[in-house]
Amino acid sequence: MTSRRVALALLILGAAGPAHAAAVRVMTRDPAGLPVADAVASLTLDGARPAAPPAAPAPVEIVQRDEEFEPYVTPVLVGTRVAFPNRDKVQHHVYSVSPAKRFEIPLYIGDSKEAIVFDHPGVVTLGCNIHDWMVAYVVVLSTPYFAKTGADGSALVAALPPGHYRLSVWHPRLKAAVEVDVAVPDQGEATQVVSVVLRPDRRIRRAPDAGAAGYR
Amino acid sequence: MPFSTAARLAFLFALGAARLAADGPYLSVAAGETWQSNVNNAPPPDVTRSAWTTQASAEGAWIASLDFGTLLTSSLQASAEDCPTFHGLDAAGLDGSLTLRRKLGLGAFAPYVSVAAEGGATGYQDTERSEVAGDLAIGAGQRLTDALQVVASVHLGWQSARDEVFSGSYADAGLTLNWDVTETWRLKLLGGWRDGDVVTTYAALGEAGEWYPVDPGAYAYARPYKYISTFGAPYLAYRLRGRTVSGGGALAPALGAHTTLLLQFLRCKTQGYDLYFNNVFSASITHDF
Repeated sequence: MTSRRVALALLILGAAGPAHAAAVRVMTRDPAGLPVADAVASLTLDGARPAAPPAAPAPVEIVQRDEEFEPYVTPVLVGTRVAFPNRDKVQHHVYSVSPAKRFEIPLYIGDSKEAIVFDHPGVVTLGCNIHDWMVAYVVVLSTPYFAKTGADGSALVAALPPGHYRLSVWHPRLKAAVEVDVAVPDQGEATQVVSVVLRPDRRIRRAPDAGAAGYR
Repeated sequence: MPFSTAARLAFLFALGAARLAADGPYLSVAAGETWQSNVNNAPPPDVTRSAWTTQASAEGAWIASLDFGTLLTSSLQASAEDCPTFHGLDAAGLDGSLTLRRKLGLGAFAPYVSVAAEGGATGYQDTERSEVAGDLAIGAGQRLTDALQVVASVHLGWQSARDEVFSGSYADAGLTLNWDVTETWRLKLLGGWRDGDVVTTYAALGEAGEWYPVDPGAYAYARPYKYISTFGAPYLAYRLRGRTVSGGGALAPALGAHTTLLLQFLRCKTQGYDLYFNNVFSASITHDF
């Protein structure tokens, strides 16, 4: 991941917060100032070796519903087990060919018999081999300090030890992650606004392909 | 009739068996309007007749996933057409199809191939046109980018009507380029070729029992023909061998994830005994439940 053009406004609110924890609120905005959802903000302590992940990160689910994946973007810690329950009446064939994790779960309805352990950092693109428009992303991270922005473009990364961090913001429509240096104080909440320039949202069209009566 | 009773029974059995381990039914409905400039397939200088037709259809499909890349789809479709100008062309039909579709690889950019057997029956108000028909179809598709897809198909078909003039066989091929300009707006480029039996009409002179075509050359053309009154004036309908080349385009905006509007223009050039053209404009809406 490399640094890209960034418009940076650093506001340290210094609000009084819990004495034993610091947090960074990352707010993502597009050039028009509108909030950007589904961005993954992760913080890595400068100069630190990647910490060993917790022995058993909490399992996560990515559901198939109405022939779409929910959620669209899922950040997880390395070693997380992800289940793919199918809540549709139609079978799905979930797969990924991403280098960080290649797998297939062929043809099932209901709860899949196997959960997938994402054991290498990187971005994993999910698809369904039957329904081409279905796509989702799993962002596998080495650092435990991460969060995903909501509809308001805001993500709170909490319980941060003080220090200097590298903030990385990833989004499916970013050409490359945006990286910024952030200083986390001993306590309180710092706010970091990150401007991102997104590529147009191009997904495979889902609407039916109509064919009018031709010449007979 | 090219297919034996045994073959037709096997087709119906396969349609039924395909439902047993399948998901569905997946229901879709469609409705539309078509205008043709030469609905009677008349060559100049005979008078061409234009007409509007309203169509509606409902389809139920059952899909079985045989393996990660292979789908078996069986479907049943009921359809109806109304032609206010020429009520003889009003029709209702029931069709079934069995399609095997195989994706050659993983992902949206893997090509697919398909083979299908289709059959059905259509009843016309001009009962001499009522027919049973069927075809074998081979198809393939390839997505070139997220926005661009090429689809090709070949059909070998036949129809057996109450009157032999409206019966026949044909082969056709089609090529479609789908360009998703945005996720909502799709442009389609269409090209087609058909070779086989066509029904061409020639204005007729004479009186009952003694009709002959205005074009004396057509009279000499020794093919099945008959007098028809479908188009409000005396015509002789000939069953001829003809080659049709068609081309056109369409705009297909998506109205949400399950509905598409289609606005299409097709220009068809047929060379049978004579050369004639037909311009076909159509607007339709399709909704998947």
